[in-house]
Amino acid sequence: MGGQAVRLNGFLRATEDVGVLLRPTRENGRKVKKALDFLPSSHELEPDWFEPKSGGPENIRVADDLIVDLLFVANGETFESVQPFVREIVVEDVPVRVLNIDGLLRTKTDYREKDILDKRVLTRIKQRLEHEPGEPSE
Amino acid sequence: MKIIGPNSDHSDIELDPVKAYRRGRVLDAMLRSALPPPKRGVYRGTFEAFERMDEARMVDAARRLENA
Repeated sequence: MGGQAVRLNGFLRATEDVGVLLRPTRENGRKVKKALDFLPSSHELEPDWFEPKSGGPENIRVADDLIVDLLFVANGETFESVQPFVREIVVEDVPVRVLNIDGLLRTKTDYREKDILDKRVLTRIKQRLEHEPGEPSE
Repeated sequence: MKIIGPNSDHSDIELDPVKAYRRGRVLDAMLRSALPPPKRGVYRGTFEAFERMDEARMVDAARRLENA
């Protein structure tokens, strides 16, 4: 999700971070810590932080050579709720699971300027794809 | 948006994910070169708190450009 997913769905814009929406479990904490091991800052991660808390979900950011935002909720959407909108794209032989346009539109707010722009352009792309199905690229 | 003139083949719409990924990496490198590096570490907080951190860096970058 986030700017990387927006881009893979057609809106080419710069982004500084990688946004990951995940289920809040300790097991996921262990997996994420292992996956991000190449970033020195990730060694500070504690799997316990990935367990649900009664005070509401708390997101995690790993800021290093990359900025990775680990989110448990995005505009009210959770890992479970967006499953119908997940698509797999292969980029340079690497399968990447990203939200499709409908999924991204659900995770974007109506008040963040960046989200408003994303929504506007993604909606335009969606309309275009509906009118011109099968067109591979601009 | 369309850029007209010598670079008229450029567009902010790229429906081929692989091309979008590659062109995006170039854009990201340009963005990184314009911003102060983030303070390294792990942070926990609301998404809004992360937004405020990002905005503070953007303002810092704008100030540096203004004073350059």
